[in-house]
Amino acid sequence: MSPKRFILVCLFVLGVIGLLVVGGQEEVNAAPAPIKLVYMTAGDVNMLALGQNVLGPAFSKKYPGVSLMTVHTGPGDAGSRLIFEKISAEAESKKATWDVDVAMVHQMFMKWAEGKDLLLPYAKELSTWKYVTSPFAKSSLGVSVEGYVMPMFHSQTALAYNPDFVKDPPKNYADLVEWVKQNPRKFGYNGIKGGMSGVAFSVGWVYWKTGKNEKYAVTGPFDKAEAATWEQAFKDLGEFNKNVTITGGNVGTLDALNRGEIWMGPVWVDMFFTFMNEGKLDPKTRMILPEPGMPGQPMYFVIFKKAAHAKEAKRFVEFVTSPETQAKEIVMRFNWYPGIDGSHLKGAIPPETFNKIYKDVTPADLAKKGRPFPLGEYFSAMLESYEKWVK
Amino acid sequence: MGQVAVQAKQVVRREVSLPPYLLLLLPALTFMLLMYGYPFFSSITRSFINSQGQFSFENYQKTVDLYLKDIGFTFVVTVFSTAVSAGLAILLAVYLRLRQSSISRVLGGLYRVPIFIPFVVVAQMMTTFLAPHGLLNLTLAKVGMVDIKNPLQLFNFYGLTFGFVWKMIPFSVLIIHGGFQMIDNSYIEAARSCGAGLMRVITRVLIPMNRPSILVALVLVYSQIVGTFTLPYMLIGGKIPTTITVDIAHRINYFRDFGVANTLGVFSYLLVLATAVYYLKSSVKKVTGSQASER
Amino acid sequence: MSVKRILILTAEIVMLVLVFLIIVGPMMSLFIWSIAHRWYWPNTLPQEVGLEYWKQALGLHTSLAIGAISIVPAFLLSLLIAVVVVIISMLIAIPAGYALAKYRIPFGAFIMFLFLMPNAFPQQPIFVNLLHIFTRWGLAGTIQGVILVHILVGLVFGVWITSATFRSIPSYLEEAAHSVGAGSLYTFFHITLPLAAPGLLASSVFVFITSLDEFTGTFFIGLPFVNTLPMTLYSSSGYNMQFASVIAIILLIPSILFMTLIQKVLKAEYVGGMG
Repeated sequence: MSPKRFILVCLFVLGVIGLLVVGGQEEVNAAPAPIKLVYMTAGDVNMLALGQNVLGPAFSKKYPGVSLMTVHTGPGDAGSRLIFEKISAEAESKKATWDVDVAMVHQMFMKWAEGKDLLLPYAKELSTWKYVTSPFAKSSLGVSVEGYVMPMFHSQTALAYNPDFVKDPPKNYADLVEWVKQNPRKFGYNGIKGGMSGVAFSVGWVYWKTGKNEKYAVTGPFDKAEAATWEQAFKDLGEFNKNVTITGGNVGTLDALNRGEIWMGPVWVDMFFTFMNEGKLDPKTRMILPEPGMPGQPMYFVIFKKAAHAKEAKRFVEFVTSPETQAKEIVMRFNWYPGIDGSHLKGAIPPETFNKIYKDVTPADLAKKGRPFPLGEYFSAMLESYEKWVK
Repeated sequence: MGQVAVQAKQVVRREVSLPPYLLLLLPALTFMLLMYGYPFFSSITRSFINSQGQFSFENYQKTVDLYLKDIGFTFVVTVFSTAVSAGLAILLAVYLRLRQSSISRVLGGLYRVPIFIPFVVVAQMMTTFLAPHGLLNLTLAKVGMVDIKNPLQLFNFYGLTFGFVWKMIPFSVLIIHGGFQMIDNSYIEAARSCGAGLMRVITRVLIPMNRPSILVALVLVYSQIVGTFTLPYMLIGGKIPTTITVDIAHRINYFRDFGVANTLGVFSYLLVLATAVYYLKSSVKKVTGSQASER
Repeated sequence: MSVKRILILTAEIVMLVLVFLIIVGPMMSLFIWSIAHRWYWPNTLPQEVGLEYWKQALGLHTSLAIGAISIVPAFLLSLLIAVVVVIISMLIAIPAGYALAKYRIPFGAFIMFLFLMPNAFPQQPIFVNLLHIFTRWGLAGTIQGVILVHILVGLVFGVWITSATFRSIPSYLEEAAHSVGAGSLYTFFHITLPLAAPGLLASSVFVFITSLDEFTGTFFIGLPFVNTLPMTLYSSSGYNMQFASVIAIILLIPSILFMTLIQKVLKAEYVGGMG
């Protein structure tokens, strides 16, 4: 092929592709006849599946003319952060309506959004508001969020362990320290980088050492001087770390459990069950929630202030937080703890499911040992102290 | 005829005058300045702004307090991985250049495979492959080279280097070998006929003539390694020390602290600046050098 | 055969086996996970295998673990974007590379470095800023925006590698052509370009792969409307090994195809040009 020919072919291909691209873009940008509700979700990839394959079709059946477009932004706080960046950019650009209608985010998001006038106070308008009475629906890491959020589901961290090797699991943090000395390298967590399960464990450690979880997580106020009192606690954690394996993240810990490299480690209960259902965790693995407790957090639905389809967004949230959907999809299909109060689901959940989910971590355990994460500034202070004192 | 001769002379002398290269360079240059200029400067300025919004060196102070070890670690891993990659790549490229056998043809196709695998996939592969109970350790245990109760611990500097080298060698070989292919056989034969042995041919003919490609490979590999996030994140994650990229993600995701994140970025940028300057200095010398030697 | 030849042959075979193991070894994990249904300690191999995850990935079965609808369209979109990116990038990179190689440009070193910067500076902080700019320009969430980002990160491979390639071509060859009366353009297409072919090939392959695999920028700029394959990969990465492995294998194919295709075309060009 002569060079001239080659260039002509290239330009031709370019032209065709250009047309396709522009044409395709027209399709994407053209307003579709049915209403497309844009739903961005952080969290793990099964959120995407839940939205696309379960909630979307069911919602469209109930409200024909509305379709749900689910977009996944990634696991962990990074996923929530991306949603926040996107929405801040839209707010800054002063667009009339925003691309995203409704999102499901972690608690951290609420802290970032505080005072920025990005969200719609929609929750009290929903018929399902009366089902939500937990303090999590009113306050998130110390930020008052009442009316702006509806919890979709609740997740809790606990220690997962292999009962073949851990005959008598430690019932509290102090016993855990002893156990780790007897079984070096057999406990694994990810420090504070790369996953919230490790962060939860570290926070639980601070709660244990200081005993001040009420002050740090519920009442406040933030007192900078408190951070200085944690020096010894974190130095002890550094000592503790000498006998443990540091994993890559939430999944790193679960993978290490899967491969038998560690026998115990902090995990999110919902990830625990999902991994087990997907054949990546030995069915005999158990969990225990050590004293004085470990943090848990809900994931929240938020609706944005300038959402293009606020009405449909509210209907969607109402739909997902209804007792039927909560029982059928959240609890039974995924084995997660519901976002609304469990008492409203009684009777809707068969006993086998109930026994499976609450086998190791009972509702009583949750009530007593399921703690909130610390208030925003204490949280940041703890993370930085870890970096400072744990070498 | 005279017209053409005059034009030819002008082409030769054009090294010093203005217009032609400007037109050639303009599209690419404008694109970069437009797309990258503002975000980049915005990042640098943010590193000098503290949480109250004032100009300060606070971020730099905090970064040095908390992350100096990680910066050092990143530097060592990057330099080491780059050196290993480049060294092995040169050897492989030389082999492929000098030897034409069926085995070398197979190798020629085989080595390219990692190029097509995105870093995020490499990260996962390495995590399952290098784990204490991962494929490598299990296989070695089966042939008795490793005791499974005390497996090779590779979620550290060594595993990270292995991952980087695995991904970067094919990239380097492709560039360096491409450069070797442009060296005509006559040079090699000429050297051989003067009595040069294999080592001499490599060190005196092949490598010097291919310096531009080798240096490009070095700098590109180096900067790619510095900027990689997924591999250290999955392999090392929360361990101490870790790489700059993991720390940046941590600062942004948990604190929304763009001040320190951008400061860390500036450090990483300085790391690359050092090598790039070295490359550009030696390549500029090369241009003038080769022109002189070709006269 | 002489002893020397036998030794060389053995060394070659050993090297081949070693390279094979090193390259294929880690990939084995990938292949095994893509067909694993259940796999946990203490089994070296999965307890249960099958093609279920492949079927879910390709949309043949509905999935509870992943939004399977995304994968095939995401794949095609990634491909489309990559081709456009390569064409545009090479069109502006080749002249730039040539200029930087053949002429002494003021601030030439700085300009070269400019192209390196998107790779040198960690991407996350930069892309957040870019998101704000693109939103203002109405480019966020569009394919055009994503294409621009891909060109941004791929251009360094275009410019640096072509520049080194052109620099390696001794200038006396071009001067010789000029001295017998060839015009600049003719020289470029019939002498320089064919000689530079291997380097240019390498350059375009890297731009293609960079675009196909580009994730961070696409993630920030493309959401919520543009969904490429690496984003689907990231969604499941680490979390769902089976899907991640399937998607990774799917991602391999176009890159390899592109490389063989370009090689065939350019080889013909190379041979033709020299004739």
